[in-house]
Amino acid sequence: MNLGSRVRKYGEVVLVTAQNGLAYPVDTFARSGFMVVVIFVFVQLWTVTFELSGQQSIAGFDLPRMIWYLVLTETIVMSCPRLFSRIDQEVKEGDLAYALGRPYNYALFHYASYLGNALLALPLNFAVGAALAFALAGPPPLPAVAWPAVASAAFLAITLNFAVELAIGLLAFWFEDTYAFIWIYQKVVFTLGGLFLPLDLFPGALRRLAEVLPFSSIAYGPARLVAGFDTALWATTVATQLFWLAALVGLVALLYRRGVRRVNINGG
Amino acid sequence: MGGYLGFMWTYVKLNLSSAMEYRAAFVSQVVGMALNDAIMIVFWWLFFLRFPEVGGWQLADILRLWGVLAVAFGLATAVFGNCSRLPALIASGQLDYYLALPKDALLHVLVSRMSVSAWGDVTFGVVAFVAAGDLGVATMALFLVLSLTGCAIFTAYHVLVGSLAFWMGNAEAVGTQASGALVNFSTYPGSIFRGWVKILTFTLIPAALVGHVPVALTRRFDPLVFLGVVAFAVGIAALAVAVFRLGLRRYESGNRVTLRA
Repeated sequence: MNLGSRVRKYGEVVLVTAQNGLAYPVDTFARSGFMVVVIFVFVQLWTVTFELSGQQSIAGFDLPRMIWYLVLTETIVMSCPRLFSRIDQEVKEGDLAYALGRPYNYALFHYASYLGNALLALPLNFAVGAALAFALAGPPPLPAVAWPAVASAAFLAITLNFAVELAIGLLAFWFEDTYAFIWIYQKVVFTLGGLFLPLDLFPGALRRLAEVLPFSSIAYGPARLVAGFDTALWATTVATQLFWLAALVGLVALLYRRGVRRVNINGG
Repeated sequence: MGGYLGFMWTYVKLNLSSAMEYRAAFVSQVVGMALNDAIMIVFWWLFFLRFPEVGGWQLADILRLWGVLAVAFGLATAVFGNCSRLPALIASGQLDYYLALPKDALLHVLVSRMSVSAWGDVTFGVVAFVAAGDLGVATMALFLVLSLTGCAIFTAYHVLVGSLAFWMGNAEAVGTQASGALVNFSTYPGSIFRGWVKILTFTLIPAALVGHVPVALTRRFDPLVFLGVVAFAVGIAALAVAVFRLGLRRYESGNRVTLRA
């Protein structure tokens, strides 16, 4: 099969998944509604914090920059579909065995399906968060021409999250329960990933540690661009994301190959 | 009352022994959830390194807040594990089984499921509260009582929101949003909410009564405020029971044939 046909095949999966999401518009919009709660609470926290600190800007972030930073981190994290539970279930219940005989790559099929959901949620979540941020903090501190660059980093962040969730789901080959791994991963993104607090506000050593870990490429990296965009920062962010993506793809391939050897198919 | 407590205790034991069938999964979920909660404290630790105080709240207050909340939320989802699934159970007509039995249908629905990971929340909550320091018998007793009132408020709030399914049909999205809002508002310092938002945390989203006021009480006890929290917990529980019973009149069976083993 040539590259064009492959792209069309997985492109169809993206479309069908997105159409399925649109079939339940109330649920889809309600999920985006949670952005309002999260951003609203953060605005309260940072408004009071800036007010009490008596400072206009903290580590390069003033209040509008902080709020727009949070809109970006929350948009990315809340737009990532919960893939790991599906993989975990397929591994444990043996559905993965059926996938082995089908004419698609297991990881790419799930990536296409994941993208279908994520690309539907991403603009919705951003629109809701941005509307609230606009109303409470004014326009974003970013020129319009820079948004495609930020969008590319956000897209890579969502792809990185896919690779991590796929790896965690595949751990079901060896572990009875993988929920603990995903909870801890999510909370590490919250903290060391800079979801709630930009790494610029971390103490020195911890900041350096967080910067070299992949979690900051999922939240902090793309969101930092909103607070102070320049092309060199964008290039560094994207290069770091691509490095981690390559490393994670290697890890997933290893886990998948080792895991599939453990699959026993009996009878018909 | 004794009969109800015995009934609940029997279900807790049964659910626990059922969860223990998969011991490794049980341990990993409990430890995983406790770690998951603990990592959130890292965020607050980082935050307070930079800003030592937010409107009178310090790291010790956050530890107490998360202590009370984690035990309250943990007990609510461990003992009354179906509270967050009520909208789905009502919409799909799955209450039939409970309606045919002599025990109170609402209590029976609520206790017939347990969230295993919730025991991780309970464990973390106790550790967090102890880690905040300034302990004494009276403070620990207060912590226990306020965790129980918090559990009652959490459960009743979920029953109230879940009961909307009797009128709305599908209330799952509303239930998830309402639950998320309560958790979100209650896990931040009470001092950041002002004006109409503060009123909201005492009424429609009772985050203040689950977390912020209990923390204030453990700092400085005020018998009137304490009685107010207890009265609110009793009141919202009674309201939840009344609304659920009212909603039951509109309930339509799903005619589902299910096997419960």
